[in-house]
Parts: sequence; C-alpha cells; structure tokens
Amino acid sequence: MTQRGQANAGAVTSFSIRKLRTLILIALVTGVAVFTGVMFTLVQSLSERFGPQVVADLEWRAMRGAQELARTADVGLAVSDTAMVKESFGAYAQSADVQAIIAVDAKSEVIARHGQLAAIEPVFAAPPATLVRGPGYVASWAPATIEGNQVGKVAVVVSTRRMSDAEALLSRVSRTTLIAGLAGALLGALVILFFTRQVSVRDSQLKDYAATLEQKVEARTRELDERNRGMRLVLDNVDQGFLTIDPHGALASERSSIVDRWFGAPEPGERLTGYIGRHAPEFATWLELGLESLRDGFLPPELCFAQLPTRFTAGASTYNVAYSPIQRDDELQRILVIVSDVTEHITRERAEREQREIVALFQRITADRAGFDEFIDEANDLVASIATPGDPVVERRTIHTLKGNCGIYGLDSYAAECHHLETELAESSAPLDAAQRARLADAWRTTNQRLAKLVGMRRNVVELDFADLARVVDKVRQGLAGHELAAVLTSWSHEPVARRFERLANHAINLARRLGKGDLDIAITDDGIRLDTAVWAPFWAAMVHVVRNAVDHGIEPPEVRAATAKPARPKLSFSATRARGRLLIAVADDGRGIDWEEVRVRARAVGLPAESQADLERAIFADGLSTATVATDTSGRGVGMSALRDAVAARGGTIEVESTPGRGVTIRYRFPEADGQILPLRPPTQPNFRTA
Amino acid sequence: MKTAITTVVIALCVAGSLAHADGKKLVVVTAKGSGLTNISRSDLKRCFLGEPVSGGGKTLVPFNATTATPERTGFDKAVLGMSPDAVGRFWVDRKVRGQGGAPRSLPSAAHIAKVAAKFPGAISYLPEDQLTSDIQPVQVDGVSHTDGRYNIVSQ
Repeated sequence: MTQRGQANAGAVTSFSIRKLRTLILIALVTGVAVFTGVMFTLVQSLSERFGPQVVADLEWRAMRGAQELARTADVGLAVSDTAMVKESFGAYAQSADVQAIIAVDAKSEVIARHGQLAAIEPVFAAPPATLVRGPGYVASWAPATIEGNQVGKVAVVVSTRRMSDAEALLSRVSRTTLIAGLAGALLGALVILFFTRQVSVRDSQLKDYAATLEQKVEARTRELDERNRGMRLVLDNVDQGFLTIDPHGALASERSSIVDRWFGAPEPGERLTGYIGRHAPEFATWLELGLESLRDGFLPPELCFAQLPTRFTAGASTYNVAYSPIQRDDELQRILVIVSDVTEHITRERAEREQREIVALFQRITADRAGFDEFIDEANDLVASIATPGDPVVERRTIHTLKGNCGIYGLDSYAAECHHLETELAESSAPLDAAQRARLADAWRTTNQRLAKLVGMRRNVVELDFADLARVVDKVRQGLAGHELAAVLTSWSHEPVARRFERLANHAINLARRLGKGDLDIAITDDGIRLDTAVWAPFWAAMVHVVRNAVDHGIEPPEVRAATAKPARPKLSFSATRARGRLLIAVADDGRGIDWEEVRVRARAVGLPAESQADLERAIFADGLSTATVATDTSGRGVGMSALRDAVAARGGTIEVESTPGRGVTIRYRFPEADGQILPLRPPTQPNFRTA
Repeated sequence: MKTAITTVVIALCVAGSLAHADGKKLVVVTAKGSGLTNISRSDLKRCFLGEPVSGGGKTLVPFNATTATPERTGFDKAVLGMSPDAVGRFWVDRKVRGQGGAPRSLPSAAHIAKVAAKFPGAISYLPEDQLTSDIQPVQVDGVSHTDGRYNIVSQ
C-alpha cells in the first residue's frame, strides 16, 4: 500500500471513530433523557393516580370507623364502662393509620381513649358523619344510640402521615431518578470517551504496525524474488528433471527446464502419468497404480514409494526416476520427482560390463583353450538347433543349457539374454516365437563377433601333460605293442575328465561366491580318464545343471551351516573311476540333501507318480519339476535335470541318487566302458583336493 | 292404684328436680328500681323476638348472652321454644325482610350484669349464681327463680 493510501485509510478510520463516538454519546444522552423522563412521568402518574385514593381511603377509614365503633361501643358507653368500650375498639385500635379513638358518653365525658389527639373539641364540634381535617390527621365522629337513645359519641382520628410519607417517597424517587440518570449519563460519557481514546491509541498503533508490516512484506518479497530467481536459475541449468506432484499426480507449475526439453511442455493441469505416458505408457500405468496405492493408505508409505517405477525409456534415452515425499505434520503434501537421464551411464556400464566379460573370457580361453573351443562349437550347434521351430520342451532345455554353459565360460551377457527369454517363456507358457528365435540368434552372432577378436584362428592341437608323455615313452621302451600304442595315442585326442571337472568346479566356486554361499572345498578324482569330446559333449553340457543345483539348492548359507555345526566351507566332490568294466562318474555335496516330501508334493502337483522312492528319484529328472520356490537365473525351472537324464540315457548310462537329510547328495552316473575312452597307463589316483 | 299413682308422681318430681339440677337456673333480670318485677313468658318471648314490649313504664331493651353458650341455648329453648339453628334462621329471615335485628349479645355474665344494672329498660338473663345486688330478678308468669317450678335453665 502506498503512503497516500495509508493516509486515506487512516483518515477514514479516524473519521469513523469520531463519528462513532459522537453517535454513541448522542444515543447515551438521549437514552438517559428518555429514561429519566419516563421515570419522572411514571412517578408523577403514580402520585396523581394513587394519592387521592390514599386520601379517600384514609377519610373513609375515619368516617366508617367512627360509625362502626359507635355501634360496637354503644353498650359500653351506655353503661360508662371503659373496658367494654376499649374492647369494642377491636382492630381499629391495632391499625397504624388510626391516630386516636375517643369515646364520650352522653354527657360528653371521655369514657375511653386510644392514641393521642391534642384537642378533641374541633372534632366533636363538627356535625356527625363529616370529616374534620387537622394538622396531620383527618377525623370524624358518630353518635352511639340504643333504641333511639344517644348513649355517647365515638370519634376516629386517622393520621395522614401515610399520605405524606408516600408523597415524600415519590419525591425522593423523582429526585433519585433524575440524579441517577444524570450520573449514568456522565459515567457513560466518561467510559465512552475512555474507550474511544483507547481505540484511537490502538488504531494509531495498528497503523504503525501496518506500515512496519508493509515494509517487512516488501523486503520479504524482494528476498523471495531473489531466491526465486536463483532457484529458477538452478532449475534452468540443472541436468536433472525436478518436478513436484500432489498425491494424485497433478503437476505443479514449477519444474526444471530440462524436463521441457526432454518431454515437451506439459498441458496446464496435466498429470505426471499423462505427461510421461506420452513417451512411456507402461511406466505411466505402474506410476498410476503406485500413486493409487499411496493414496489408499493401506500399505506403509515407505513401501508404496519403494514400489513406484524407477526407470523408463523414451526414444533412445533411458531415465531413472526417484521420489521424495514432502510432508507436513506427518501428512503427505506433495512428492518431489527427480528424473535423471541415465542413457550415457547405462551405455558406459554396458561397455564396462562387456569389457569385464572380455577380460574374463580371455582368462578362460588362456586357461582352457580347447575347452573353450569346444564350448563355442557346442553353443553354435545349440543356437542353430533352435533357429527353426522344434519340440518346445527340447528348445527350453537347450536355452537352459546355453545359459548354464555361457555362465561357466563367463559369457554373462548372453546368459542374461537366455534367462530373460526363459522368463518370457515361463510367463507366457508358449513356444518360442520367430522374434525370440531371431533375438537369440542375433545376440549369439554379436557375441561371436566379439569372441572372434579374442579366439582368432582355431588351432588343431593335442594338449598333453609331460608326465603322460614320459609314461608312454617308458611303456614303448618296455615293448608296448603297436596296437596298444595306437590306442593310447588315439586317446590323446580325447579330453581328460579332470579338465571337465575343473571347469565345473570353477563354475561352482564362482556361483557359490555370487550366491553368498562362501568359498568351497573342491575334491577331484579322475583316474586319468579321458573321454571323447564330441561324444560326451551333451553329458558335460548337462552336468552343469547338477553343479548349479548343488550350489543353489543343496549347499546351505553360512549361517545355516554354522547353526547345524557343519564345516564353514561347503564341500563339492567330482570323481571318475573305472570298476568292473564300467565308468562311474559322481558328484557329491555336503548340503541339506533332497527334501523328498517336497519332491513328492511337487510331483503330484504336475501329475507324476510319487508313491515309491524310485518314483521320486525319477521325478527329480522329469521336465518342469523343481523343488525351488522361485526360479532364479541359476536354477529352479526344472528343465536342467531332464536334459541330464536324456544325455545319460543317450550314453546308455544310469543315474543313482543318494541323499541323506542334512548330510548332502551324491549323484552317480554309471556308463558302460567304451573302447578308447580310457587311458590305461596311469594307475588310480587319490582325490586331488583343492580349496577355492 | 292410688299408691302407684303417687309413686309415679313422686318419681316424676324427683326426675324433674334432677333435670333442673343438671342446668343452672337462668334468672330474668332488669335494673333494680326499674319497676318491672314480673313478666309473662309470652311478653318475654316477644321482647326477645324483637317486638316492642314495655315494662315498668319503659320500652324493654333485651340483651342476650353470646350464642352457643349454655345460657343462650337454654334461654332460647325455654323461652323462645327454638333450637339455636331455628333462632339463627329466624333472625336471618327478619333481616331479609327488613324487620330489624336480633337483640344485642353481651360477651359475659359480668357484662350482662353491668348492663342490666345500669341501662334503663334493659332486660336480660343470668345464671342464678351470678346475680348481684344492683340487679332486679324478674318473675316469669309469677314464678320466681327460687320456686321449684321455675324451668328456665341453661343447657
């Protein structure tokens, strides 16, 4: 407000107060005058109305009293008996208005007297039944007669004091009313003057306060403008999107400029769900659900915030979204939404992950080139096998096997793609469609291109330990037959079982670390056995599932092992032995064992026989059965063991499962011993223990 | 037979004496020297019923005892031949007809004695034991109150 405006307001206020004070004074004086006048008139009216009545009443009493007493006192007067006469005065003698009663006999001698009267002669001098007025009294007398004979006279003198008292009282009331009215008017005027003075003082103070407040408001406004300019500057230049919404998702007008550059300007009153929904409908749907849950208040706000969607993709960009509640008195007022463009970050992370993956792959290739080549060949075959539609069950096993083998060799990106595809198939229960096949093939092609730089040209070589070479040379010198030598040299083209065990062990160790199961104690026994790589490839590919199951489901977390007094380091054993013309391969862990009752329940749930132990053992190798509650990227889909069953069956083998609750599981695979698969030159060895 | 009649007469006399002995004799009185010594029962009745009756050269002025006293009840019954209620109805009727009021009543025997003694022409009645020297007993139909036949008694 301007100073002129304040002055005008002050003048108006002052005028109003003066006017109000004058009006109140006029009203007060008028009221007092009216009150006094009414009271005065009332008193006069009372006086005029009731004064004559009082006088008449007193006169009537005098005349009537004289007549009555003359009749009642006649006998007493006739016999001049004072007592009788006084007795006949009765109630008149008790009246306060009766000043005197005088009874005289026929000789005018006073027989009886009540009260005092200075002189009775004027009273009896008047005619009977007439009024005699004296100073302060009115009197009358009547003759007392018996049978026509006058026996005396009775005079009643009534005091007029009551009348004069009444007149004096009315006069006092009139005076008092007048004085009270004047005093009231004076006091009221003083009170009004006092309070209007106080109001004037308060008004003056208020004007001062108003002026000060205006100055403060202006200063505060300037400060806020400064702040807003500063804040606007920040919002215009920050590379994060700041928006605020109410619990219904309605956008506030203020937001950082980059939001408009990213998504365009929102419509007035537009909600965040609609605004972002233009670019990411699925994100908007989840956000709407989350806000609805927040408004309902059934779940804790923290949980609702945690369930709000945090990432969406718009065009070629990916955005992270964070939410911060703005509360007042524990009530949610608004929500600060912080949008960050994480496209570069994701790209960088992906590049770093791929770099790490390449380093890991390089290490694997360096350590086991032959095995890696074999893995690539097998993976090529598997990917090719699902390029065209086939048995859906087999296809799922293939994808699962691909995922497991890629995990072993550190191809985590492709393993993740397989896992993602498995999840899609599990949710839809549909076979692979053409797009999924193409996606898998494209991903593998990309992977192969990356790997080509690392793998380079294939080398067709045979790797041999010096000890094995020395042993063969020694045997030849001892006269080893040619066909036996040929068998030995042929076996060199086969793969040592120990190498396969080593790969599986490495995978188990990495998996255990990733799952928080701690470090493992690994035991490997191979007896120097070699197996044809191409023939046994499906078996080894499926064996990875046994290892993953053992680590994921069998081996307990460290705290559980500690609670059951088990060794802190879980143990995993691999062994390959020959016995009575058969090849025995076994994998054992010291985990919790198989929960056969759970297997029974799950088997019945999918319609498998579950009566005998044999039924249960068969069930764990059936398609689609897993005792895991949740499928992870490690295991739990129930397809790995069925793949193993088929691979063992293809080699004419059998599977034995030995499970002891709380002690672990041993799975043994028995195969008929085929020619050229065994290196006969090395004696059976003790287990090769190592600690990871 | 004669003996029996005599016995009955004696018994009635005794009973009459006993009856008189129950109530006090009410003596008709006037002022001493008024000249009235005897009055007939009928004049006495007329006088107390508001009719002018003269005696001793003056008009008699009757004074009654207060109503509902044994003296008043006995006098009204013996002289007027009326019960107290009948006496009340009689005077109400007279009042309504504008024929004058009842005789003045005096509150006590002492008042009666005083008025009867001092008021000229006054006539009233008193118990026998309330008689004073300044009042004159009056015979009724020539029967003195000292006579056994005197039958005006209180109730």
